Amino acid sequence: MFQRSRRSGPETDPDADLLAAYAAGDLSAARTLARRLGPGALAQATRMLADRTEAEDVVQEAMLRLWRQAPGWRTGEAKVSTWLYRVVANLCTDRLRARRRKDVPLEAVAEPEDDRPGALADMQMRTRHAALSAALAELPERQAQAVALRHLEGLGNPEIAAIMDIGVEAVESLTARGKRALAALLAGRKEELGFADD
Amino acid sequence: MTEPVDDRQLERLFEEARAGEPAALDDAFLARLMHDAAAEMPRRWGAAAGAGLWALLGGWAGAGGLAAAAVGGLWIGIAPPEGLSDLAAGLVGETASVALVPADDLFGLEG
Repeated sequence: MFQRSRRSGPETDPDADLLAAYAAGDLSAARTLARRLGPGALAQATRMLADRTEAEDVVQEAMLRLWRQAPGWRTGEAKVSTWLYRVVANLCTDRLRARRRKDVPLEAVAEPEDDRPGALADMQMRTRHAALSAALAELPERQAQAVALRHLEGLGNPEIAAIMDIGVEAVESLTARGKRALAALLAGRKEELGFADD
Repeated sequence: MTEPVDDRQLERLFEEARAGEPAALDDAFLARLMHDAAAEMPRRWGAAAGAGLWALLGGWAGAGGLAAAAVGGLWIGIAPPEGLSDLAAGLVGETASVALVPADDLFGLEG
């Protein structure tokens, strides 16, 4: 499956070393850390929210929390990348919940028209992504996080368990229930998704 | 009743969402992150400067030695050991004594 650059061996955490260097006054360590962790965090948020601008806001907030955590960071308790996955997932589900409260229509999420070749296919893909994100917003928070970490990030259950601070069995249960709920939520949008004739 | 989206269709949605992964942070966004990182730095530097001074004093051990020396010096000033005046006179050629505590009428009780 797809591997993420944010992973590293369980015995060392170079990200924690960089965070310690930043806490000791080395700003260049923060830049290195942002370059290491930022792209993965941005990808995670973009997949969940289907909106790059919102995803950037989420990652900026998550990284701000990381900078503030730096002086008190306890190496060995949790890897920085695991912590960041958790914070980004939480911030994304907060955004999805807020979006649901505002009842943002799908058309508002999709991009404007485009005349380029392949633009129609791109637009269909964006519409499907927006529909998936909107359906995630309808799920209970923990189910949405588990489904996103499993099926959008491609993480294994033990890693998801560590991120969500729950057992592996609970991850399996949340993922299965979330996936069933997603399938039911998207049933009414088959035509819009291009699945009507499948 | 509408049939739910099947596993194959759901997997297609997941795949497409994964395919849109941004390659790298653009300069403008990285600048936003670094602005925050820099803004959080002064507090760290303040803490680091305090820690540096403490280390310069030798930490707890150094500060303990410094305190002991101060108390010892004060004691010698109040109650100099016998012979110290003679030793000082021998070294500098003359002696002068300053009373830290008035010898009499400490609390102004007399007269």
